[in-house]
Amino acid sequence: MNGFMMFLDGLKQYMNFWSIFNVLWATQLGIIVGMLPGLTATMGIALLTTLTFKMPAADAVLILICMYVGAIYGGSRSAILLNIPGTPANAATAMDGYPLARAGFAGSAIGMGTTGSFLGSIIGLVFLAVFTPLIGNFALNFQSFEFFSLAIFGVVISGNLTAPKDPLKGWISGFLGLFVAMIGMEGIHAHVRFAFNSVDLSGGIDLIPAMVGVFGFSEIISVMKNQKLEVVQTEINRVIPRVKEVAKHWKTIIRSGVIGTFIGAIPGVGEDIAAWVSYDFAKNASKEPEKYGKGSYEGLIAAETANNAACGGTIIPVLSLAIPGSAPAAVLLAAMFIHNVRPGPLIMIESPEFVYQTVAMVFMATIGMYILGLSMVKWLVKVLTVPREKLMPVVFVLCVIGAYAIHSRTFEIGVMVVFGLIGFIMKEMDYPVAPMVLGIILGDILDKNLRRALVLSEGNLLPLVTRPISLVIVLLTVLTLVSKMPWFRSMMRQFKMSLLGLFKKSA
Amino acid sequence: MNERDMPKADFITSIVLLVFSITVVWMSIEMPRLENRNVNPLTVPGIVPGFLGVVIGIFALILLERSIRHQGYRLGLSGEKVGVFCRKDSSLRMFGTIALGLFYAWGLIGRVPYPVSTFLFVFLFIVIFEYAREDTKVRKRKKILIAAVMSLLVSGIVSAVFRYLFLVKLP
Repeated sequence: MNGFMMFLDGLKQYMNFWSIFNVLWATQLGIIVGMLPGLTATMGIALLTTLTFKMPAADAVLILICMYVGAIYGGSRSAILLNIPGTPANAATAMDGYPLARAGFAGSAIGMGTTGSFLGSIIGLVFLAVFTPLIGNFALNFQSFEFFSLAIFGVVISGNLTAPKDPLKGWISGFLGLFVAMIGMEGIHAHVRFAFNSVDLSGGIDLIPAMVGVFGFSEIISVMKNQKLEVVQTEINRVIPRVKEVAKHWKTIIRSGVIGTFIGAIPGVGEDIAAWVSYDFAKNASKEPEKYGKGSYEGLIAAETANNAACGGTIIPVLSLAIPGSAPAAVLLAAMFIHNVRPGPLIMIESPEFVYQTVAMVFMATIGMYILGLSMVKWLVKVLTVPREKLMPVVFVLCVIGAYAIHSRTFEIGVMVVFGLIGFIMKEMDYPVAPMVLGIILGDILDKNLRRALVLSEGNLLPLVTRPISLVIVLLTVLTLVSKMPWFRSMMRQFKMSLLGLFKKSA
Repeated sequence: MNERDMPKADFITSIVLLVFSITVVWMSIEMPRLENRNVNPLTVPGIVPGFLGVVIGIFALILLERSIRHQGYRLGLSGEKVGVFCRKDSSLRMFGTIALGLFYAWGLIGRVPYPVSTFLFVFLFIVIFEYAREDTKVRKRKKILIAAVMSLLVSGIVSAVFRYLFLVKLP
């Protein structure tokens, strides 16, 4: 009840002209950024962080959350109309959205997608409000060993889920990210590592320029390299869906909302995986699975509900553990630090009102997204026709000035360019970049906590497996690592067969 | 990159990663132990990078073994293949984008005033990528004019917003 009152207080704080104005422009900008292939939610938040860093924390974080929610939703437009997801989170949306648009149902597909996103966001924010305090309070039991094992687990699970075909590449990406965080002055003895006598490098690699590079410059190269996109020529019919049409998918909406939030809350996994998992679950549970991929409203709603529910989910570990659930949430976390908001296990003691204020921000963004999503549809389609040759140089100009603006150092422009090239090469070779970004964030946590833990235990690593929470995390990490190994899979298959054989015998 | 070429790419990557991990481990061992400051040996700066170097090395070895199993060591590189790759339309666009980006970020910024460098970058980008030999002279001129106007607008707006609204000292 206390939490609900704090949520209402938070909401009251944003019931003024400027906050509503900020919600409207930031969400609309988010929708446009999400719509344009090559501009991702991560890039949008990273660029907007550089534009809002002089604002008060409450306004800046509200704008960033609106950009986040808007962009994850906006990507569905290009997925439906171009068959190209505007952000990776909308890849599953294209499976059914595009066939629907080609069949002449672009308007209703956009309407159903928007409603799915809205309901998903609402489910996500309910979970955000309920679970953040619970996890935050639980995390107060975490000590150095737990944080160390959590950092390793985060990178491993992120690698596993963002590179399902080849998790080894995901793990390599994550550990490279952890290494990047080792560059510069370390936090215990102030010793400068891997700086090669460079004053700039001794300050370390800042997250924002690195992310702008990985998700900005590398995307620009990819977009320019690939073929031009064609917007499907279709009449946009009625957009606002009937209540009956939405209500018949209530099971899918609830299931997808829960899956989306849960997957979103796993460190470094993100909205795209949430949408795919939800899509798979919906297909398996569907009475008409044969329609999936050919224009199923159920499939469309499953994907769109989950990716927006994941937005709320990804913020849960951001607030309670200071560990991001996805790449956009990682920038959000970095932005919170820039604005002197300190998320983490102590948040429920130091500033519990901020948790509910964040819930209020997600709520405002969700309402804004739904209103804007169902209006100006025909007009916004024109944005998709802006040629990449004109759009991409503007985006690059923003990447450069955005990377520079926070610290006013040209060195950060270099960081952005180098990480852009690294990100592009990694993507070309099927290495996911999200675990690397997570690694950059978790590197400091890993470094300080492993060394503190070793001092506390006098060099003994046994507490990693004798402390119950740490043991659970270590076991989960090991299970995640071995679950993709062929020998483990065949062993599990044999175990299953022998178990079945035993049952048959006893029967 | 297509599936067929992936083992070759993995073979090269694994060797690069192996060299990288050995370098990291070596540098971590060489890092000062800060004995003169009576620092606890378990908190020395090299301990965590060393651990990460070892893990990356193990992953690199697994990748190397896998790529060898898939005959990734047969690189089959020839001047002809490289030439075909470089002449591909997509490769030209990719190299063009990278070259223009590097020219702007490292060549112009800091040497030429920000508004001028931004104008030059946007103008060159649009003109180069929109160039089509089959266009008539009038159309070519029109494209150049539009590019110039757009570059002027972008450069002016971005410079003004960051200089006067966000109070950033432009590079």
